[in-house]
Amino acid sequence: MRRSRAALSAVAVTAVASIVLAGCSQQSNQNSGQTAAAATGFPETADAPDVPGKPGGVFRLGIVEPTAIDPYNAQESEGILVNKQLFTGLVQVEPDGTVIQGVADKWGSNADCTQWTFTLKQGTTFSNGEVVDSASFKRGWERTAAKASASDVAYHLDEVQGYAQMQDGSAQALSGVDATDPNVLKVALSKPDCEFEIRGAHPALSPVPTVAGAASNTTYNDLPIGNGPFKMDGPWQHDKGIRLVRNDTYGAGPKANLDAVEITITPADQGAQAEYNGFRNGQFDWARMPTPVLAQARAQYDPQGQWLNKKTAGINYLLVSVTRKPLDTADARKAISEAIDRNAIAQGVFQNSQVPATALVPASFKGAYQEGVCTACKYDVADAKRLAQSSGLVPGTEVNFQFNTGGGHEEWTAAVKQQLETNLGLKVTYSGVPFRDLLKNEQAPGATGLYRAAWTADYPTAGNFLGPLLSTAAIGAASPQDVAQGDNRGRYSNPQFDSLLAQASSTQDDAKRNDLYKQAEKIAIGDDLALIPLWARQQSRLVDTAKFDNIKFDFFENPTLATITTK
Amino acid sequence: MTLPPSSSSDPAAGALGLPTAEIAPPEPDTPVTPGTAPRRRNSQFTDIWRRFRRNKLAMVGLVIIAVLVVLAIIGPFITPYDPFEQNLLNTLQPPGSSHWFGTDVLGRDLYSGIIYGARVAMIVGVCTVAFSLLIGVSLGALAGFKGGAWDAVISRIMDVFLAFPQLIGAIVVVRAIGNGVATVIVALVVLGWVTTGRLMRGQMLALREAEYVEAARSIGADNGRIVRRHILPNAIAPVFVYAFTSIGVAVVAMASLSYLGIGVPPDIPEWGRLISQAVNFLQVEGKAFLWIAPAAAIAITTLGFAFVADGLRDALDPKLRGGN
Repeated sequence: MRRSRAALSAVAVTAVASIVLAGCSQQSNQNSGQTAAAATGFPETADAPDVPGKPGGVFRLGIVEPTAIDPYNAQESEGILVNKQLFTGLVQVEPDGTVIQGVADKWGSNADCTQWTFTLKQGTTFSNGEVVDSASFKRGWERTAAKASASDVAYHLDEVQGYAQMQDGSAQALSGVDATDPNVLKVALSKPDCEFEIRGAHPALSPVPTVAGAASNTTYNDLPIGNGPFKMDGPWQHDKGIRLVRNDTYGAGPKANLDAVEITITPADQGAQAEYNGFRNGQFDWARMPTPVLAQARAQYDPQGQWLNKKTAGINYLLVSVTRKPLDTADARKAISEAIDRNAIAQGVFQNSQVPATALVPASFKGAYQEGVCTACKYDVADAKRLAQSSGLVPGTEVNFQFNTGGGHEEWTAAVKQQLETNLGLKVTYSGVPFRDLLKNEQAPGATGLYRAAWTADYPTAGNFLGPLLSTAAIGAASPQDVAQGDNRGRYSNPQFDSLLAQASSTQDDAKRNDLYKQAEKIAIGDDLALIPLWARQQSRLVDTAKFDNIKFDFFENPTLATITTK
Repeated sequence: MTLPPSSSSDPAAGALGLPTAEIAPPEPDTPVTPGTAPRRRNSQFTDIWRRFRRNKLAMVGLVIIAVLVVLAIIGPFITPYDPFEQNLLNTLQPPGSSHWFGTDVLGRDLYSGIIYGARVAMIVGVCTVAFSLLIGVSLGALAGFKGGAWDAVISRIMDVFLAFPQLIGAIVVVRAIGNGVATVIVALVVLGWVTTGRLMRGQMLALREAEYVEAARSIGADNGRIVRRHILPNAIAPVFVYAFTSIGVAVVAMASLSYLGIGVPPDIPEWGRLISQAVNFLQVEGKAFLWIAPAAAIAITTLGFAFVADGLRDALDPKLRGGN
């Protein structure tokens, strides 16, 4: 008895003594004088040259449950993935963002870009045999725009005349869409848009057959009949899977090679993990990965040619409430931006899988990309302090900073918080909330401070970044006391910026239009820093190139299913 | 889990079921501890302590708790690094001479983080249980002693709270009032006091009819005195044992909340949060050190409190020892 007690107290004494002796004073946890190597991101993989491959094969992949695959409401990446296999719109978007023919083979507008004419390919059909004509498009668009449909993506039609009347329920048809000639679709716009044709690639503007009925037709919602390279093989098994088979009567382009695409629905919060596991055990041929395993997966799969990496059309940024203190001045926002060491976070937390951004418009928009337009997107603590001082962002100022939980944002946001506190002496009120709450908080009239955000393109134009995120019209609130219904939740409003965007929209020449976009971005990001760009979006995938050829990323970060061939 | 100690030589084992000061046998000096100076009469606590320290596991638990309490108090003075200080140039370093447990995904020293985590764990564990005891014991005693309408109302309230699983209820509370250490304590107390209350009520019901209570009442003791002097000391034993176990449970619950991303804010190096960070690296080779240390800290803490609770139970109520 005595011995054991002695032993126990000896343990206790040693334990306490050792930790006391371990450190009488705290050491600095910093490597003095060192800075992180420039984060370059993983190198992009070159697209393999197109090779003639054999038809056939079943391609398998995992997605999380989409909101909808029916064109009237397909919205997120997953819904668009399925929808684009089932439907071909007026035009299509190539992986690099170029617009090519879809059902339309020619298109053009009048001089001020308010009247558009699309000439349709003749004789293309839906998979049920019904002919695709201009009325099919009018039907699809009206189905999307109808008030009763309550579509989340109807706004893609907001430039079409009659849209407002359909949205408020006072009209049942889009007055701006003329389908009298079955082979020609004429569209009248309520405001000039010289890039209207690219909207034709969005699922919301797909043609639908007469069997589609209203948006409330649940049979069609789960088993859409379309005119795309694939068709449904039985209805959507919710939370289980979707199976597509080749549409052998496809007429709007080259037929697909794959016999079928098997889509498994994975749990929403662990999608990337489930895909990665599935790829490793042979269940999937295409997979995302959780960020931490990226480096290891790359080392393993890149030498085998099974690793794809591409800079995509997206941006990760901090949304800033620019109308409310303490970040209501450009200098205050620039101070925040310059106090964030993007490079160290990209290296330390993301293990070099992300690249610091120096512009809002991503590099994939070659004509409109301006590297370095965000002059405050650099790490310069001295200048940040100077700006903070002059803008009243004094040490001790409280800054709200919110992010959504469950998205892997805990770590880098904690790094940003500490950098702001260390470099500027701010008091960062930092909280993680569920994604839906984050969106609500951003929209609320009382929103203040910083919110984690990301944006990816709906269609390939710089205008799709500048307009929705920064234009006055996209605030969607009549007064500062209203909830911001649009995507410009920072409530940035600058008449000069708005007028440049409007000019860009009504400019036919691509180069001139891009130039206007550049000027607009220079004002909103370079001068006003209305939001704080952080990282350019870059995506990595594992692909089974042992079985399949011609796999690429499409513009929306999905696999180009229609071109995949079997080895 | 508890090994029955060699009780054949334990005189108290055969003595009385309920070791209370009031009815303790007027034994003269007990001859069991020859080393101690002879005293006229062992106090209740001496008896308990004597029985307690025979239980080796309980003593191990006590040492663990002692170390944790010391760490919680002097932690900031002994951690080699500031547990909050990030170093993005030195993330995910394996254990080595400058960082004994390695560094986490933000480059923070894990060893310092674990020690700081002990403070968070102790604060949450002890506060949760203390407040649960306060509420539970008061309401439970009230219900059990007063009976009637009091009992009916309080018991129904307890039933309502019992209907919620503790962790899920805590998630709801945290979601509703935002995250933070205080919030986690509130969330755990809101659903944690009920069991204490039920235990207390049961004890009260059993004891208020006991002979010694009637004896006290017959000589004119008022209700307050009966409860304070006669019933509570006897009724509190199982509640106390439960409280010790539930400190460990509270530590795990706190870690679970943080693991789910809704407990303490993610920039605080808290054990559950550290594990949750580490889980992302489960499939990355050579990063197991990220979860081993915080997981071990949670396991050891919970075990420590469980051992002590077991030992306490045996010591407070020898009748139960090894028998249940």
